[in-house]
Amino acid sequence: MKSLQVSTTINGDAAEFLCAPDETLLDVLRNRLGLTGAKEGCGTGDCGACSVMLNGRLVCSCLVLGAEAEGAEIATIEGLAEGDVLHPLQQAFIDHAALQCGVCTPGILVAAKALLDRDPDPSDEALRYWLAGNLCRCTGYDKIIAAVQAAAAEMRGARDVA
Amino acid sequence: MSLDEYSRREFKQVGTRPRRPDGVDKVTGRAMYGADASAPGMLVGRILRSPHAHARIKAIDTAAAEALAGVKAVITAADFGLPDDDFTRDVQDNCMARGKALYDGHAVAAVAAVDAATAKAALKLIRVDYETLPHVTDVDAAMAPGAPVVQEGRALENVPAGMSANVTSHCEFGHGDPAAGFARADRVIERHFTTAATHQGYIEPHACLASVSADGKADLWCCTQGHFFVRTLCSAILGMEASQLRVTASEIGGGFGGKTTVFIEPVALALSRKAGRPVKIVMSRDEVFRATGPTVSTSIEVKIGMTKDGRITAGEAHLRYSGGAFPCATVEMGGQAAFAAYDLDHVRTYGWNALTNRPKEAAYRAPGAPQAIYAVENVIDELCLDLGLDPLEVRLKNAATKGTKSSYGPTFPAIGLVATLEAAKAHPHYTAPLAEGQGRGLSCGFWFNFGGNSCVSLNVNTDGTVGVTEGNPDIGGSRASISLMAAEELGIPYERIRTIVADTASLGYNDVTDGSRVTFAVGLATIKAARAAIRLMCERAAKIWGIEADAVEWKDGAAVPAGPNAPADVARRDRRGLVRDRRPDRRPPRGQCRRRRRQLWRPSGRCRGRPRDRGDQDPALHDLSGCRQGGASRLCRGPDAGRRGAGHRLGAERGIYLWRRRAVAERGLSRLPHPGRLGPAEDRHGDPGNPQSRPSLRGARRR
Repeated sequence: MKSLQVSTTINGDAAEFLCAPDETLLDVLRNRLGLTGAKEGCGTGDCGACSVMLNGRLVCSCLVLGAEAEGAEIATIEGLAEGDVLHPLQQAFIDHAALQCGVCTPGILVAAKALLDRDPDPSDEALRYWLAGNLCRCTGYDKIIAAVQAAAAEMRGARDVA
Repeated sequence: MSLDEYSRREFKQVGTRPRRPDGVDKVTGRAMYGADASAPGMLVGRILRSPHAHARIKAIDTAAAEALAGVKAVITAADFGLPDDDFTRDVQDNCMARGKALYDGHAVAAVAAVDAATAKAALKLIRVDYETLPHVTDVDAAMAPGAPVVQEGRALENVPAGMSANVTSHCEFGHGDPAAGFARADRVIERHFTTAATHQGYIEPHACLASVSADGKADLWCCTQGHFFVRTLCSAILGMEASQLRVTASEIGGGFGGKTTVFIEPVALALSRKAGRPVKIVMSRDEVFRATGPTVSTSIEVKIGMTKDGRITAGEAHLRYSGGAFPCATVEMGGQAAFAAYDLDHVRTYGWNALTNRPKEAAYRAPGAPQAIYAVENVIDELCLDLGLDPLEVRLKNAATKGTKSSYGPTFPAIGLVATLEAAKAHPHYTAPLAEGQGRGLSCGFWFNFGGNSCVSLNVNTDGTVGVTEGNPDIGGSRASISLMAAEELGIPYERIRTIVADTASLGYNDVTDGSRVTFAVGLATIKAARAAIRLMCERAAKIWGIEADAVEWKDGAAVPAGPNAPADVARRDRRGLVRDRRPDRRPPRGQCRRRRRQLWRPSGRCRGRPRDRGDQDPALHDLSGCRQGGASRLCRGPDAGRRGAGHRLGAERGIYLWRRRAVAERGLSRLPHPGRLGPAEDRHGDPGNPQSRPSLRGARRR
């Protein structure tokens, strides 16, 4: 199969890659671009470990073809922190011990940020529904919910100050 | 001091909730899991799996796959040897079917190719000539006479009449006379339970990267709960010496027992050996569910007798377990755990294992116990309902305690079941009103704990921080626990310790991360290592100060002279307990200082009067050279250098050092304040701007 050339923006930087027509965006990110933060837990869009943002929309990158990313803006876990300053969500996950093995954590953080971007003050119920597509096997979801709510509160506070 | 002597101790750090050391890596995507590693020239490995639950493999034709452009190696069972012992052979046969495919998903061949698409295409070109055989997947059906025999020649020597050749083991535990016990019961209930071979369901599929060089040295990166055990298994399967295989454990994306063995690792090594290039294999979720170890499937009968007032008169359980297509002793765990929570006069468990055409069982959270306990606890609950008894009171009435002869033999030492039940009873949750749709239940459980082999290396760094090297993959936060224990023992802050999980070439053997053993056993090893380091540093401080070793004690992260060696007039300490007074008027002249310095170092066996060695292996010397602006010359500045005062002064150096580090942490300083600013201004020798006044070991040598 002939490779396709794709031009994208990833975490704010221009990125070009070659990929096979049937290659997933997740495989491109992990195997061609070295962005291994997104994980493949199932390959069928069930676990959410591969969550990334594609043109502002939360997607399972294992269900998106690399070729579909032409001209797109992609945001991954690697772009969440600003330099050495963690995003409030990242800090809250550490402070609330909302991770154990950590393999689902990048996907959950990307998904949680996507929610907070559209709803800075979600109810627990809305949050649980939103994160229903991200499976965690170790930690239990309560700590994750608590961490996201703590980060949301902090981000609202920061916004009010600004 | 014996480590198993219990004494109540006020902990300063254990019991606090510090941030986990792996946190930042895991929230930023930086943490490296099994599938995240790569190597130059790496090939993609893929495995062909049997579509049949049971089939004889008559022939495998790999010629077309080998001829495909981009394919670098194809292997089958023929590429492996035949290990002598049953255990290793079973692990190997599970990784690559030999003669028969024993379950749907059983590996039959593997390829390594330049990319995934080529590897996938190559798998389609492999022709396997199968003769399908009748299969059996239910444990009771597998034990029945006439059942398809999963593996010939593996049956128990004396299989009773009425059972099939799939029965591979039998066990029996208990004491007393259950029949007599049942006769005394007011109510006897017998029930049958089955449980499925549920999978551990870790989010991270198995993944590994193997690289075998032309001279037989090999490196393996994999997600595992025990890389030393991976080395044991893989070196045995590959026929290589353990020393030639270095295994590095990646971060692990969950295991729950399922990553305590190997599935793809020997295959990747064999492919790499054949191809002469690194090979990476990453399982798909489908492969994880079809071909890695779930827990046992079981069929269990439990019979329990109880008096009207809730005393259990007898218990009996028949446990039939299947660990899939290979012999498995997990039923013994169930047999031992079933009634272990209770103090019973009459108890008996009978266990059987049978082969079925299912994937080979792997450990899963107290393997074999929850199934048996689930059955027993259900029957006890039903008896409580029938007799109108409180389920917690009944469990209290029958609870095993110190001195109970357990249902599996040993007599229990002090155990906490009664205290736990009393605490549950007293907890508000036990009596809180229930909303509609809510329920409340309780159950007792039992599991063994064990230590196993653990090795820890603890190094004091040149700046007084500490590195702990352990050999157990951190599956639940053990690096934080280990760091805390080291910090507690050494009296230094948690943040000054970094605990890492070393590869198999860098540390002595460690057993697998399983059975809840790591925090316990590796923790004990860490405590021993910390105490050994303290002892060594105190001994060396004693040599430097010319006092008896037992006259030096370790306090708040520093060696200090104890008792009569610590004169009150010198030991002036600030509020933090740190020494800050240099007593300039009591300094000896410089010449005397240098002579004294030579005398100080010479007697020390390790230094042999040659400070030019800088003593990089010597923790005591590290302490000194770490205090660059303070340094060794201060050791002999006191009036009693080598005897009383000097002892105190090493404490001073340590104290100053720790103070400076603390100042950095507390005040957010970007660099260490130099000691000239710490206390009395007389410390001119502490001026870092003056090279002559920098009395490090290096400086001392030059003079």
